[in-house]
Amino acid sequence: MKKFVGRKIWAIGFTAFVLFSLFFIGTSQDSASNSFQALLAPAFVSSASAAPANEVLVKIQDEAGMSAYFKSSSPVSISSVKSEFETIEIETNDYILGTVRISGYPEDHAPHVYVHKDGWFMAYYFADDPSGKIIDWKAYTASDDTVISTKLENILVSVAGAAGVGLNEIVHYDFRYPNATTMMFIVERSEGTGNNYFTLNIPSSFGVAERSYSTSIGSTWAGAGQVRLNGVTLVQYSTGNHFDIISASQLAPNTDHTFSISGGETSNVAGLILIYTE
Amino acid sequence: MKRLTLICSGVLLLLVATRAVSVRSSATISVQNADNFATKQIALPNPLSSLVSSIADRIVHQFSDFKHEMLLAAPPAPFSGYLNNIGERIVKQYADDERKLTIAAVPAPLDSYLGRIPDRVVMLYVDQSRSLSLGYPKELLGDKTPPAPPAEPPIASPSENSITISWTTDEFTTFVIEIGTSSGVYTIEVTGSEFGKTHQVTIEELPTAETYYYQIVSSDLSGNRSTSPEYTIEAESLNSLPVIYLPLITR
Repeated sequence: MKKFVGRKIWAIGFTAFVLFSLFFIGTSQDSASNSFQALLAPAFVSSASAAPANEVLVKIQDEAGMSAYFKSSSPVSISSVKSEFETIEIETNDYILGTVRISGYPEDHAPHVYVHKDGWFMAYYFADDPSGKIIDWKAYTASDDTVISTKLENILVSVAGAAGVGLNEIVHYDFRYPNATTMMFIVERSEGTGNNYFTLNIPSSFGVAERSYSTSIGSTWAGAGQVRLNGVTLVQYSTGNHFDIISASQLAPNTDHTFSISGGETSNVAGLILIYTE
Repeated sequence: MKRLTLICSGVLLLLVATRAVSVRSSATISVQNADNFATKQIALPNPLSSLVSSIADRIVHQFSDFKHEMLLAAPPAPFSGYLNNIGERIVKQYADDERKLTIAAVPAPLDSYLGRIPDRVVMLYVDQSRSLSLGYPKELLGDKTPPAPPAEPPIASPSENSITISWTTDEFTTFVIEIGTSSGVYTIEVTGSEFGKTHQVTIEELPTAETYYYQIVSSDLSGNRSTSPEYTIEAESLNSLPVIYLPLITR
């Protein structure tokens, strides 16, 4: 009975709402008070038509996952960077957006790059890509002094070089995880046929947004290998680049985990990538 | 094995005894040229036999030159008390050397520093690591547009002493819900500081009222803020029904 009454009230309310709406639409704009804000189109629609530059930025926010960006201290000539692009999706007098190929990697590793004449540079992978994709193993050598660099920052360095502008600090951001504050790379190497491992323990107070692994075969890292987490094989490989998501249950907090890499006949390397809120 | 040994020993003794008896029974005392001869049965008198059997077990010794008996007494009560006071200890024998260090508690000033070490990812045997701070490209995106109000009216589920409100936004926002029992007068604020596109909050310990009025203040990653229209919740609404949403319209 109560449910019936409730439905009746709902029907009456909805009818009243429709009638009120029909009555007031078409009258003075001043009459559109707060009540009609709820019916406004999403903000990006209005901003897109008003400012084309914002349109592409809204597109980037929608499709991007991990990104890296910086602003040069001087303006950029769009024509100076155009030749760096393998594909161009949008080009205006103000900016260019497309993909830029990274030497030594297949085409699906080419990040999207956005360059604005004001000096903004941004490179990003799509939201579907695990963050493990961004480690640049081709630029990594078996030395503790080597910086674990990302393909995104390296491609920005390359494009900025083509533009002839100086670099400023490159900042990373993940559009999927707005609350994440930190991204950590943890790398393990094995020499020859040996095995090597590290252990880690993630506090439960951390909000871990994504866990992934990454490994690659290249000129420096040429051996077939196997990456394991707590004795369970994550990937066994003999060629190519490998990266994927690790589930939350596989890396439970407040637990010691062992991440290991075992080689075939030459050196091997693998990394664990964590994105989290401290 | 032991039982077998005993059986064998018994059989052997029986054979020897049998042999002895047979020797004894078969042997005769041969007396020749004696002036007189008599035999007499020797028997132990009964009283003496009982006395012999009452001799207590004792340490039988022969041929010893000297004997000294000492009575071992229990430790006197006070001393026994001291012995009981001996604490548990690591018992060592044959050790060549030892060193004992007292591990003291961390002094208070250092302890306060240690207390300030934040939670961290603890790593062992890592060959290399790099930590990057993530930063929202606020200046690059230049977003000056406030977040849109919820496209759909929030779903409110009132229960006995609380109300759960759920809604979605078209971009990542934090929120402040302002709620009260009179239209436009909000006495309670509930803040959600994590960015999200789907939101749910339960407001408890609300003052009793038939109708609650609330609005949602949303903030996006660029700091743009917007305030939703005022929504109402009828306290008598059933959990299974959507709350009637009627926008307030003024002319």
